Amino acid sequence: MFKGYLSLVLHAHLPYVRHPEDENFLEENWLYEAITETYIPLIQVYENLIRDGVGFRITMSMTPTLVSMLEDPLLQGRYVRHLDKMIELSEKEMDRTGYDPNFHGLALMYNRKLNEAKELFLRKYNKNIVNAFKEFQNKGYLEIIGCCATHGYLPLLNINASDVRAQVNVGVEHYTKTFDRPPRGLWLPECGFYPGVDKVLKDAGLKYFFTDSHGILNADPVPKYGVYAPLYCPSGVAAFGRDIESSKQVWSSKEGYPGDTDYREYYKDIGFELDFNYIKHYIHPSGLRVNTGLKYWRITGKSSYKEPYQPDWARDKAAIHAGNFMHNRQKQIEHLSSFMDRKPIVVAPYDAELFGHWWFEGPMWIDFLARKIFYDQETIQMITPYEYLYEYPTNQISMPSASSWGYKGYNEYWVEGSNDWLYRHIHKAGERMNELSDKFSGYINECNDNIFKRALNQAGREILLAQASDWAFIMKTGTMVPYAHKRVKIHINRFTRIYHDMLNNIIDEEWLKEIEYKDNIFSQIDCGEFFTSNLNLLKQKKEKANNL
Amino acid sequence: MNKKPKSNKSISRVKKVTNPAKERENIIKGKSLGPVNLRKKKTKPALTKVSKKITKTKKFVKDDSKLVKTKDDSKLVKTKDNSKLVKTKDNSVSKKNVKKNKIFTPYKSESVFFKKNVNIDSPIKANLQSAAKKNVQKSGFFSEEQELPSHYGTTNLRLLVRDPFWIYAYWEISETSWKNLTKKLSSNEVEGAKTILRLYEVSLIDFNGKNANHYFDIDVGAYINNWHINLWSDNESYVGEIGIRTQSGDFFALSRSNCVHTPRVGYSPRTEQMWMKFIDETEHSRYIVARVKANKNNKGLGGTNSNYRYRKIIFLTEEDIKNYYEDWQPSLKDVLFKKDSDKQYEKYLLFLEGASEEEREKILSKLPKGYYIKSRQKGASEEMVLVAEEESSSGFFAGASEFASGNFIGASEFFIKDW
Repeated sequence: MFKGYLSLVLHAHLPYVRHPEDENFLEENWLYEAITETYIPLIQVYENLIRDGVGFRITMSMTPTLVSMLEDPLLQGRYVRHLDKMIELSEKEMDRTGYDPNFHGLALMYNRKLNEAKELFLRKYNKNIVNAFKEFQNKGYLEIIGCCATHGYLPLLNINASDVRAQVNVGVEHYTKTFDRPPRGLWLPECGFYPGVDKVLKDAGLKYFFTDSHGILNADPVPKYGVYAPLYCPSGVAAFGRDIESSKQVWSSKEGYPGDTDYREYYKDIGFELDFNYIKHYIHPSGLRVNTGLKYWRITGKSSYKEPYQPDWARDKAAIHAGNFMHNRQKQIEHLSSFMDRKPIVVAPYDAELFGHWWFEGPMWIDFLARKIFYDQETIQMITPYEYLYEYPTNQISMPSASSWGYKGYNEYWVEGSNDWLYRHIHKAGERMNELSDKFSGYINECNDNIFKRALNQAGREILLAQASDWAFIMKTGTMVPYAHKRVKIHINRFTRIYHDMLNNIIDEEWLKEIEYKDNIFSQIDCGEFFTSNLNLLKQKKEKANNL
Repeated sequence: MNKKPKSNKSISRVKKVTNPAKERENIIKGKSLGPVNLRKKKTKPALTKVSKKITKTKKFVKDDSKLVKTKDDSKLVKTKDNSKLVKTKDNSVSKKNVKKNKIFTPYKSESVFFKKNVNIDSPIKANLQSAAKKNVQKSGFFSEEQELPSHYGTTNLRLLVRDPFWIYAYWEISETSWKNLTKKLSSNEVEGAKTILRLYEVSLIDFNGKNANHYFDIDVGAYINNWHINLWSDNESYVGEIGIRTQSGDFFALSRSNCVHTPRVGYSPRTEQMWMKFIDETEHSRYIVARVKANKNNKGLGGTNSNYRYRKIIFLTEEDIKNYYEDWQPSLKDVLFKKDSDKQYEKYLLFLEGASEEEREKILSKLPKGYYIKSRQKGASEEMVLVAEEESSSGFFAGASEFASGNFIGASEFFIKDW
């Protein structure tokens, strides 16, 4: 009989980068890399598991920005073009490596993978891979949870309650429209929790969310089962805490699996190493070298000496590590269940990008793990959090403490020297949006061409895009900082202009059309309505949506 | 005479597009990959009818450093300022300064009114002077990448929690607040006054301005508008006030902040346990997958293709399952996916769903008379019709219990047969 549960959670997120005015925009590469290296391999893994009848359960959170980008025809077309270029590059690589025993096999492997990816993307799912995840959810294997609209970091947006409400409710609405049913759970951005946000989640109809371990352990009063059982916040929403042991085994840069010497090295890419004239067509047109995804070396050690990558060795290692992970979870759960009067649940959340993008053998590892758990033992079982709540509807009431899974466990990463100047502008814009929404939300019921309605909704979109936590994150880590600065400035300036224009009753329709075209996230949702302070309006809207 | 072939000198960084609206549509649909030449014809901006005060039109200039085509299409020239490129009489291109039309905006962003006659000393004076040097937003000019405003013209102080031991505060003091303050205070008091950020520790207290547990001051000075504050203990609540403190020690607050709570670092000292049971009755976890007709056009017979069938998920409630098991029915799978008998009448089955009463009777009349029909509720919302054969209907009467269970619905109540 099963003694405990393992819940694997993958958080898939990308900031909304879509620039129709520029053919080759550098930051759009993030999306193309993520699709080729993470989402398509994960889809292949899930398909194989379902075909082989393995009963697995994985929870995935897909943020509205990512889903909008995956469903956008312009970006889909550009991705196909990118894939074609990469296939061409891999063919050239096959010629170049010729009879080289070390690298020719790898070039063949990359060529095969890219062709499989193209086949899956174009033929099987008709360029929209969100349908793949929808299908897996409908079959019951995957549970997809929602996230806030543009991944805004809620503890720092708390100054204006309307901001927090809008982020959560727009995210929920977008999920409902995409996946044809309301979301059961929510992934708080960066697991950023503060006491009081659970009320907002409850009003939106959500049933559970995730926090970092110290959010649960420092809860008030002390949780009886630690992180191994969920807590109910006083409003009724359940909080699941991350387990430190299982996270460390995968996340840690020193002792974690991805650092093993047989795995592929991320930082040695042919885009940076090969001759410029050979590769210039495949990197950015301006001459800036970027990652192409074709890498030939393995980690080998901490020094800069690297040896060629051996896929067979890496595959064996992935299987060993999956077995090791499963064995550790078995021991952990056996130990816990000896003094817990219910089955413990070990929650292991990770960034989806880790599997495939940073850690090339990640999807293989998930594949092996699911199969080993299903076939080789009977101590633990994979589960989704909602099924656990279904089995144990009685849980302890406790208020988790404010926390996040960022560096140092609190909000420091997002409000420090490089990015603290952002917040006065974001909060001011939030106040103004609240004001606009209160004054103009009567126009929401008008027809779609009404200019006040369009301007209000577009103002909502601009401010949601400005609130994304990614910009503050980028400013702190120091990668692509000018881009983050530019984005924040652009969105807040556009918002301010709409604000002044609406209050002065002069709205430039051509300019509005242009920015509706450029910032077309959530184009089916009336974003402006969600920022009201009039809670009854939101409730009425929900009831209408439920009755339909 | 040999003619040189014409060389196309235009730099093709911006794609030549004849119809921008169509190109835009193509991008949205995914047919084209962009970019679109977004420059529009220079028309007057569309004004809504409500505006009456506006007399002159605005001219908006977009991103300054864009490449602009000149009239003879031979080269692209960068324009960096608000001037037009105009062909002069000798066919050369020269710049001409365009007048910026100003417009009266009652809700314009704050501009600074600086009076030279004010005779005040350090922090207040410094503030007004620095405010005068700050950027004033020019009316009628908009660039997306212009710097964010350095002041918004309202006095406020806000606190954000960064850590259990750190709080981040930002504030702004508008000129009107300084002016009001100078009116109240005498010049003696104003001289030597310092701008102070005062934090009150108000854990578990209804703060009314005077009953804090304790407070401390930070001398922030007049030239800065944010501060990271280090605290001594965790798990506390703070309210802040920004203002000035005179040399005699009197503190005059200009604004009070929101209340923040720092999180706790260790385990909570409370160990009592409270439990809650929460059963979700709106979720349908069990479901069947059925082949149903789409209700798109309710045309009834014959006109629709078999393409309208698709698989739909029907969520079952407890009642459905109870009904299902109460009857002497074969497995749902056989019922729904029956392949062998009655293929010719399968299409009628599907058309009966969602059809109106007249259409039903039409369809039923088309079936051969020996057939009987039962319409049945399967699942929470789907209604399906099952066709049966005539033969052993009489025999069935004897043993059936579903007659008694009253599951028939609709006007056409026929008797059923179990197969």
